[in-house]
Amino acid sequence: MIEITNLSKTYAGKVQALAGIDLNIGSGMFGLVGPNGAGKTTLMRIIAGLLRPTTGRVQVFGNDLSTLPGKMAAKSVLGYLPQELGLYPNLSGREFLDYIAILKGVTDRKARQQQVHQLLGETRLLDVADRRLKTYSGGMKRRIGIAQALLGSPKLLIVDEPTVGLDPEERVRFRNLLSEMAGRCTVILSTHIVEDISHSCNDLAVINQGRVVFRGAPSDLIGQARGHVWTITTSGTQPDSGLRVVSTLQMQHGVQYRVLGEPGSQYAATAIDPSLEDGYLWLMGQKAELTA
Amino acid sequence: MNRLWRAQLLGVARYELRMFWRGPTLAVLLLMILMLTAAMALIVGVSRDNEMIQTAMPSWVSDQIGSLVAGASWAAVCLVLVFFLPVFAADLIPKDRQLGIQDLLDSTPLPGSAYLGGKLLGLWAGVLLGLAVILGPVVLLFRFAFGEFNPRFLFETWAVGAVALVILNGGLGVLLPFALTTRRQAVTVTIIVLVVSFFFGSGNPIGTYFSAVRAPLIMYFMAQLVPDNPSLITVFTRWDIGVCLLAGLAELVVLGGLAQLGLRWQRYRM
Repeated sequence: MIEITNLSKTYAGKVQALAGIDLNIGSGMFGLVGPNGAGKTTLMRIIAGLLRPTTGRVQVFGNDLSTLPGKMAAKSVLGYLPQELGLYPNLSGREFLDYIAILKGVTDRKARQQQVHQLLGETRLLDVADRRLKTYSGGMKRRIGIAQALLGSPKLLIVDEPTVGLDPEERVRFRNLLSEMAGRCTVILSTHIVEDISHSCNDLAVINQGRVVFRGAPSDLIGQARGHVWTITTSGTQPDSGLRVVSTLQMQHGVQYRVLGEPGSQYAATAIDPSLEDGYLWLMGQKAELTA
Repeated sequence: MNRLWRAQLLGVARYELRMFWRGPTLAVLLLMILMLTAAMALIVGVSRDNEMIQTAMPSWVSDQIGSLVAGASWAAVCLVLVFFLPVFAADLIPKDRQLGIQDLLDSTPLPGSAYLGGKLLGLWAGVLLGLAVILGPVVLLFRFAFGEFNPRFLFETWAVGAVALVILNGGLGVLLPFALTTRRQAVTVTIIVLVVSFFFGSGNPIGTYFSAVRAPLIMYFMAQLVPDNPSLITVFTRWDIGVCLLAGLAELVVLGGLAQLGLRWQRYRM
């Protein structure tokens, strides 16, 4: 569905954002995770046809993005939520969605109104639909961004850091919405919040310093950390000797640390099942060691 | 012209008009025209007490005052539409980049021609509607100042001269700075072009007809309205008006073509 071959991007000033990315993304929900500055947004923008790669090729449903007709054909099936979404402050939420729907090619007025109304409902914005966007809170703006990405029944949905600024309830709601969409189209979810991926993606890639450092199912990433995740309870002293502390929990009699690594015999460590976040942190730690 | 392209063009125009109507820009422009018109009414001043007016036919007086009124309002309209409208219109495209909306627009299958055309149509419709709205208050203002007058000249000037200026100079303001990324850059470039136009846009045929000052258009109407004023005697004829309008339209076509090529290039390079 989406074929990315030997993709590189070097910005002016010789900053290399992507270096030789090869990816094939099929239907369903695909997660792209990595630290800030890893190149996720650059990759998303290239797939959305907003940025031209320095080398390499991207094909979206058979449309080659290096040609103008191919790019326009790909855009006609695209829903895109950028990381930083700009809005027209003097339009209402309903008007803004109507405007974007027209641009996306939903020309039938009745169908457009119906779709806009439905998405306003799904993103819980019906109450404020006729208020100007300049009066919206950060969360509302994020939700209107999500709604506009879903307009026009896209075949490819690219969402870049979609849950930033949403409260926990909204995040869950949005994840469910995306999962539902993944049944109908390809969804590429880029995030640095591993939790978002763990709840919704069946396929993921970890990107770091412009390269894909892991590709597979979430369970495979989790598997990488198996046997390396422990809890250690101390009186308050943080465990060291090369252990990476993932979380800290204040208990009644001491402090419980969740750590990654190989604890020595000086600690009474208990092995526990790893989470996706553990797998991700373990992988990134391994890569950092290799680089060092 | 396919159905989608037309729908996108009209969609951009409709929402651009709506945003323009709701924003402060149009209100400021119209207020400027109203205030300058009021100032011109005070400057022109007409006394109905003099002997000539009292002994003349009422219809002659009505026509004379009508001409003066149209001339006074034309001066105000020209000043605002020639010099201020392009500056106010300059940020129409850079605004999208500065607001961060460009990425979203670029992710849709919106062709550059529909985008530019929609922006232009929206601006033109907004300003022309605004002018139509304030025409009533302008007539009332002059009627209050001078009493009864024949409004035909006023309507003619606005219907021909003002519409031409809105299309030419509004279009120039939108298209000239299309490639710039910030509002400040766009406004600065437009002001520089207007200043250069004003100082170097006369005395040679190219400057006279292609300059953003549109001297033939302005002076022709001014002279027609106040034919007895020796300071407004003009060498410009209807032919000059035609050439000036054609030159202005050619300017827009060239700029529009360049803008569209630029957008295509930007999209191709993106």
